[in-house]
Amino acid sequence: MAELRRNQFYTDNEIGYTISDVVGANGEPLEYIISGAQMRLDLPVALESGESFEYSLNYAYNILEENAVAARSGYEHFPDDVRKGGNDIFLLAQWFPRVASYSDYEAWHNKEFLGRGEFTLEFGNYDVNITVPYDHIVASTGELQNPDEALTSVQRQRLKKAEDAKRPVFIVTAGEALANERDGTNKSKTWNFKAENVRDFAWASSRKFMWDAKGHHQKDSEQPLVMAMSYYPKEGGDLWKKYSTESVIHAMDVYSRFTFDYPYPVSISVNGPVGGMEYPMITFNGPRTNWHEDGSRTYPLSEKRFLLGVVIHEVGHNYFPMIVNSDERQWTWMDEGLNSFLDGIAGREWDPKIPWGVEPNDVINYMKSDVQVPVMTQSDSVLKLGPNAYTKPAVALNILRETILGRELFDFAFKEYSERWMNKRPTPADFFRTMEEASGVDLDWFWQGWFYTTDHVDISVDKVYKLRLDTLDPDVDFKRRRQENADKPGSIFDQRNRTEGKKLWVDLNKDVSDFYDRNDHFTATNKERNKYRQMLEDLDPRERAAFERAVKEDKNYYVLNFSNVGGLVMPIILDLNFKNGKTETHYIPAEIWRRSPSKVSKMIITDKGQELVSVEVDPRWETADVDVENNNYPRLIIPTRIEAFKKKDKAEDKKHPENRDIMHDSKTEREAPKKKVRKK
Amino acid sequence: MILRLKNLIVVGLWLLATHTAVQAHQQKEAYITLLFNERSSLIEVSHRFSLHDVQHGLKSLLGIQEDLATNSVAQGQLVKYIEESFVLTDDSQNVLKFNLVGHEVDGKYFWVYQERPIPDTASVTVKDTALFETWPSQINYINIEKSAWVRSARLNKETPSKTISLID
Repeated sequence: MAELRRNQFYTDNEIGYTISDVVGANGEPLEYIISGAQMRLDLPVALESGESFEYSLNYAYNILEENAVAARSGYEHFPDDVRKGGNDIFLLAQWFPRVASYSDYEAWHNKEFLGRGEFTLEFGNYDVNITVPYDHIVASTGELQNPDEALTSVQRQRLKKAEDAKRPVFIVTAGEALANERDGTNKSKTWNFKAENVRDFAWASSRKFMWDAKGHHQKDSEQPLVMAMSYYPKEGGDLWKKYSTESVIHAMDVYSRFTFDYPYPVSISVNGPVGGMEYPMITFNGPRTNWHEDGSRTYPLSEKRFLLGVVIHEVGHNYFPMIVNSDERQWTWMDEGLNSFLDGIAGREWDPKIPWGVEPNDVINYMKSDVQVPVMTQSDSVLKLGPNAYTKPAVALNILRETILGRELFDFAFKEYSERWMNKRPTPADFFRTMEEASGVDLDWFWQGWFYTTDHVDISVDKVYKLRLDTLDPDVDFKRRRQENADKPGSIFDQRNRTEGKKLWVDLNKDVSDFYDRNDHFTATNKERNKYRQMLEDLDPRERAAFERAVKEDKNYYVLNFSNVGGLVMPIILDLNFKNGKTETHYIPAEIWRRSPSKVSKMIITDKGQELVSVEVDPRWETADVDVENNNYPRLIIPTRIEAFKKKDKAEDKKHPENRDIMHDSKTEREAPKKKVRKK
Repeated sequence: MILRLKNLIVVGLWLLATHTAVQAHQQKEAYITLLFNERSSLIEVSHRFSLHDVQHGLKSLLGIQEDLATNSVAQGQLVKYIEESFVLTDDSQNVLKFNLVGHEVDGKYFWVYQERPIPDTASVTVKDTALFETWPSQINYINIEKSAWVRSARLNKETPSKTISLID
């Protein structure tokens, strides 16, 4: 049905730009050609470095109905509003032809938009006049230049009050928005916005918007006050009133700590038909409430999580790629991956009980599949952006921070990358290089495995051997060998003969014996004793001291054999469990695989009383290891997901407080229990 | 050559090509694992959907707007839909029937579990059309897992089924 609707929209509407009057500063016509979604404009004279060229053009297009064509912008119609003909929310982005980027690594960026990787843009200054119906509220990139004309004095006072408010202040209240959407108008009004040094410009307009704001203060910053603001219709309801603007501020709080201060005067979240989309200073976010017949509005828990997640994520895009201006047409992960990594931090700093989906375990189903392309693949050729450009790089960075570099090294390096490439155009090499330079750690192996291959993490502990240092003293070592031999299970034949009372020839004929009946083959001789003493005599004093100490300490030597089943090189994190109940965690750096990437051995030496009983690889599931069955030695029988599910106490599961829709259920009237009809 | 490059301005007009746009943050993917459990001689099928995806998908598909995290009726309808969307056939084109083990909400995911004895077949054809009619960009990842290997299929509206060899 969705496809039918989309096709019908395209049939019924003229889509795309109409371009005309392409002229130079003096009105002279310029040569140009339009090829698909690209336009080439031929300059009369070639530009030298530092020179500029002024031109203008007229353009027009029909705004898309977002719900019909699933675009990143457009309008949403509300036919059921009280006002005759209904109302609309307009989200305007990609609404003007933008100059393509010109970089030192690609010259003109000629990658036509194919519906996937979004945009590669240059920074610019904007001065935009937006004329809309008089009762519309406009949210926009930039700073409002004519508040005296666009806003009422009450609205201006409320905005001032919002600057230092503890909670968001309504600039347009719910009641005022309802009155606007009921009444309508024939008049119009122009809003003027200016934005400097931004790579794009978007805006939204509707008479349905309520509008709240709260000041976000950045100490010792070039931008000490940022107005966090949200615009939403009644359909957004309490979900938006409570959480949108607060999420905007939380996002700036966390992201700025990891990167740089938010540099713009406003940070906006607008509710409309777009699920989630980002532009400088303004984001479009889709979560809504559900309307019930009693007139109330509630929302499922998943919608609350969606709102928190999407607002944080889209506001986060101000940092990547709006300011750290990476090329999403080519390397989507450079903004989506870094942003998902940071939204995971912000989310877990909001409430770690909410599953944010950036833990290593969230990516293993994708990583173990054989239908992937590397993260470094050009955007249009990525098979599925979600796991490839968002989750996998986010999880990779999470592992890099928590498991490989540690927070101190990682956070310094990540901040260095952000500051170094602020308002510049980094490539992947710039990210990789900066992270290595600033942390002081060679991470080539990490980038190679996680970003350039489709390998996954699966490290198996195959075998554990115990060794003991020989003393070389024949009296001691032969005695040990004798005991080891005695500890082996005997012959079943011999055991059964004994049980049956069979008499042995040697027992029945003890008068016939020789040297070998009195001395077994573990008997030490003087020849060996002499050799041992000579060996000790020949050692220099330091060697002898070391040897004697080792013999005295009699430590346990364990050899652990590992194989790299998944192919992705990673550190080996080990829990060693000892007979005395103690557990030690060991971290073997990834460099262990440098000469033998498939199989390696590691010797672990423990004190005499520290006897190893079991070994577990990646016990806290830090590395996205896809198969935990081979993580234990000795092997354990680990139930499959379905086997574990069958064992679960379902009743207990239902009691889980998170699984009750108390918001809706609390409206249920109290009822007397129904009488059960019993057979007499 | 350099002068020629400097002689141009390239302008992007990409409004023209928005019809396949993927919005940030909406991922529309499911993971279906077919685990050949040699201990129990069963194929165990685990369907993992994003709770938020199916909540929205079912609103448009079945008119369900009750909270899937809690509403057992809505969950039941979703389970039925997921079961019916999934079809496995053997190398003689016989449909392999599954028993429903159950379903659960775990974190941000909605899970449905099925099982059946491991069939005597050299290959299986797996088809899963869940949410294809809701979102053209929906991808259903299939991982067939045996002890020695994982083989995968990436099903979408254009390619809703794939045959996978089970030979080691």
